[in-house]
Amino acid sequence: MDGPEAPGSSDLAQQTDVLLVERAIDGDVDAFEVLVRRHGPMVYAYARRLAGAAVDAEDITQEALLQAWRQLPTLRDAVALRGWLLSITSHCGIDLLRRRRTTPTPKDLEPGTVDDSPAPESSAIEACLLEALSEALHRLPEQQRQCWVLREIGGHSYQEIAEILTISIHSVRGNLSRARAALLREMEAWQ
Amino acid sequence: MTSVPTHPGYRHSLEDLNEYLRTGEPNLEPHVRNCPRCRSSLQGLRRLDSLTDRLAQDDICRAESVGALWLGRLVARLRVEPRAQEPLSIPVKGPTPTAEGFVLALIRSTGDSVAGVTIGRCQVQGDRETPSSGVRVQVNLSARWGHPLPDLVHALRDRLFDALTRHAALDVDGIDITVTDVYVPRPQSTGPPGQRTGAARRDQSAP
Repeated sequence: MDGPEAPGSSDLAQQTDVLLVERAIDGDVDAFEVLVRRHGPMVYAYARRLAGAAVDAEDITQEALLQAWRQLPTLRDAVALRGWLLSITSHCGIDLLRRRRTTPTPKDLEPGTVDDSPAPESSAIEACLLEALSEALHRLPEQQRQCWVLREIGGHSYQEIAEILTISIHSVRGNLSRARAALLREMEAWQ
Repeated sequence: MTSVPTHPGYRHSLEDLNEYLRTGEPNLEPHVRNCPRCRSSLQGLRRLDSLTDRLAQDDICRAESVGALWLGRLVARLRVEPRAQEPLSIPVKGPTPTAEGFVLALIRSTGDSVAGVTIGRCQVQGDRETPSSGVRVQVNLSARWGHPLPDLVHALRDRLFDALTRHAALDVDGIDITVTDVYVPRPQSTGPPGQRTGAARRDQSAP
């Protein structure tokens, strides 16, 4: 795809999401590959927060992107692609985690050992703060963390979270409230 | 939230304050302005919001650096699992029906081979019930900046007509070409494109 003398196809990576989605709907895997490389990291990062474990995150990402490929013809507005991908990831992620929780699973990685070094552009203080938040998220009970990630990173409404997790809205509200209070409490110690 | 306590010692719940942060709930405004405890909680909530955004961005940066390999494996899997395509056929000159997916792929690969052209959505319309009837092709294209559009459209039409007649045995009544976008080439990257003119130009004619 990066061949210097293939003028048309080498320009695929420079096209808008809208054009790439149109081509992918027509069955063009090359166009979908560009979308996967463009948005796959976001899907993975979100899945990783949702699952709390890298091993699950990779499987969730694979499943979510496969589902996206299959369901692409149902995407009404390609401009909303990122939100649509996150929503598919939420559903795939919770489904996969629910299936796995019924059987013995590999233990979640310990906080602090999941990621290697901070991203290069982060300053040292910034990196410490992000690491602290990351660890605080890890310490939340699973359902609290999932509610919080679905809401704050996935952008879901309370109603959507209730449907994804098959719990009541009341329960979503309670989980979010407890998660927020716990995170704020921990943050006070980082001043 | 019809009755909102306003005395200075009252501390609103984090839920109330979070709602205030997101919607600017006017009933809380006078109290929050004068209550140090609530102001302190709001400051914490704002900080948590901002830190969460940065964490999400940081996560994506990390994923970009490690994801290339297994994202490639995923795409390889897609190639052997193509989406089920509509098996309908379109009218051709000969006895062999032609799958629509094949024709669309032919239009894309032919169009992309014209320097400065990237094909977008395309459609083939024809009377599927009547073998050997003509088809009309509609093609959107994104043009690279610097290529004269009339030349691009002309070259594309010639190439498409030739390919569809020769390789797909279609009787082509006309090819409608719409330039939906003009893009400025950048160094190789998969990131979303930058400068665009947003120009759209439509050109219809028979081959």
